[in-house]
Amino acid sequence: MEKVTVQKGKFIISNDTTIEIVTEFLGASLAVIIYDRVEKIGGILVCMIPKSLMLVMGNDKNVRHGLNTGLPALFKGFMPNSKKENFEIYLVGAGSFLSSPPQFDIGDQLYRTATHILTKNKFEIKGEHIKWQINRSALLNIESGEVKIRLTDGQEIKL
Amino acid sequence: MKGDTVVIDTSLEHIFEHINQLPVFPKVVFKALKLLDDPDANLKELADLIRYDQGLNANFLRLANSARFGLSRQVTRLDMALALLGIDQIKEVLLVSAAKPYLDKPLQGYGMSGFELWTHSLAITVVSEVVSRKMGIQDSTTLFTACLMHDIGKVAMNVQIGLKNSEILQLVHQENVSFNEAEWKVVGGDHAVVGSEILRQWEFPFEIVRAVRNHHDPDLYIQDELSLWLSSCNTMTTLMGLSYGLDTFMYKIHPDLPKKLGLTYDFLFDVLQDSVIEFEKTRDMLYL
Ligand SMILES: [Fe+2]
Ligand SMILES: [Fe+2]
Repeated sequence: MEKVTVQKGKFIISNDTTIEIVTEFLGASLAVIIYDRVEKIGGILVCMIPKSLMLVMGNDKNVRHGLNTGLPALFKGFMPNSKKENFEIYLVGAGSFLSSPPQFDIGDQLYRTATHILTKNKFEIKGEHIKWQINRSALLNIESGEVKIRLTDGQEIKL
Repeated sequence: MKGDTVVIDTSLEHIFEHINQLPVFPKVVFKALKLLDDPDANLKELADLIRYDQGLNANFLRLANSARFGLSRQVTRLDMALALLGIDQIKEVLLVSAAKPYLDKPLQGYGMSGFELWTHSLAITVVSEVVSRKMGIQDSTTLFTACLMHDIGKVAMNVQIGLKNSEILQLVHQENVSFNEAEWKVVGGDHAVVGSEILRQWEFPFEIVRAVRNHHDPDLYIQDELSLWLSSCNTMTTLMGLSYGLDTFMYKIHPDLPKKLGLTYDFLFDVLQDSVIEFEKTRDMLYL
C-alpha cells in the first residue's frame, strides 16, 4: 500500500482508497486524524506548535500551521463532501519528558489546545494515543479507516 | 569464563579502559578550524590539510553537496567546494565529515537502529544553528560542535547498556528516575560522563567536554551557558521527534532552564518551527 507522508505543520486529506497517510515520528507534536466513514475520506494534520507565528495565507509551500490555523483548515478541507456527524477523530502524539517546565511541555500545550477547540465545536474524540515518554508516528488507512500507531522500535498498535 | 558462557565486563572502569579502542578524532580538523579563524586564511593551505586525510576528504565532498548548504551546483572538487562555501559552513562540513564514521552506526544497546543516532546528531546541529542565529550567539561553532558530539558516549557504552537495558528501564519506571540516573545506578556512569572523557582524550576544548558531561544532569547544566544551550537544543530535538531509542523523553528538565536563558514560549515556538523546516533540507545528508 502506498504511503503518503505528512510533514510537520501541514495536512493531507485524501479519498484515494489505495493509500495510507502516515506521519513522521511526532515527538511532542500532535497529529489530528479525521476519518469520514461514509464518504471514505481521511485526513491528518500534524502540528508542532499551538499557535501560528505568521499569518497563514494561500498555499505557500513554506506555510506551517499551528493548531489555531491548522484545525480550521483541516475541517474546511472536508467540506462540502463530509457531514460533521460522520467524523471519527483521533489524537496521536504529544510525548513529554519525565518532568519539564511548562515552556518545554509542548505536547501538553498542543493537547490542551486541540481538545479545547474540538470540544468547543462539539466534536467527540474517538480515540487517542498521547503523552508519556513515547516517540511515535500515526498511520491512517483510507479504505478501512483504521488508525495505527508505530513506535520507534517498529512495534505497531491498532488504535 | 564458565563453560560456554562469555562473561562481559560491564564495569565503568572497563569502559574507560577501552575508550582508546575508538579511532582518534582526526587532529587535522582542529588544525583546519584554527586556520579558518585566521583572517588571512588561505584556502589552498586548507585544501592540502583536508586532502591529507582520505576519509575526511571523501566525506567532505559528499556532505558539501547536501541541500543544507544551498550550493547552486554539484561540486566534485575540494577546492571548488571550499570556494563556494562560507567559512562557518566549511567548519560545519569539516566537523560533520569527521564525526560521521563514529555516529552513522546502529546502537542496538540503546535501541537505535540504522541511522538513528546519525539523524539525531545532525538534527541537533540544525537546532543549534537556528538558536545561534536567533540569539546572535557569536561562537556558534562551539555550540555546533558540542551538539554534534554530545551522544558520542553511547557509542562506547552500547554493548554494556545492551546487557543491562531492561534493568535500567525497570528502574526508570519503578522509581521515576531519569534514564541517566538509572545508568549511574546500574553501571556506575552514564553516556554523558563517558562521552566527555572521550572528548577530553581527543583534546576537544574544555567547555565542550564540560557541556557534554553535563547535558543530562539538571544540577550540572544549570551552571554554565554552553551546557544550558546544549541541553536545550537536545530537548528541542526530542520535541521534534528526532530522538530515538530507549531513553527518548526519559529525562528531567530543570525548572529554571527557560528563565536562565530567557526562553519565552514564542521563542521556543519560533525555533521549533524553523528547525523543522531547516531539518527537511538536511535529510539528504543522512544518506550522503
Ligand atoms: Fe544524551
Ligand atoms: Fe541526545
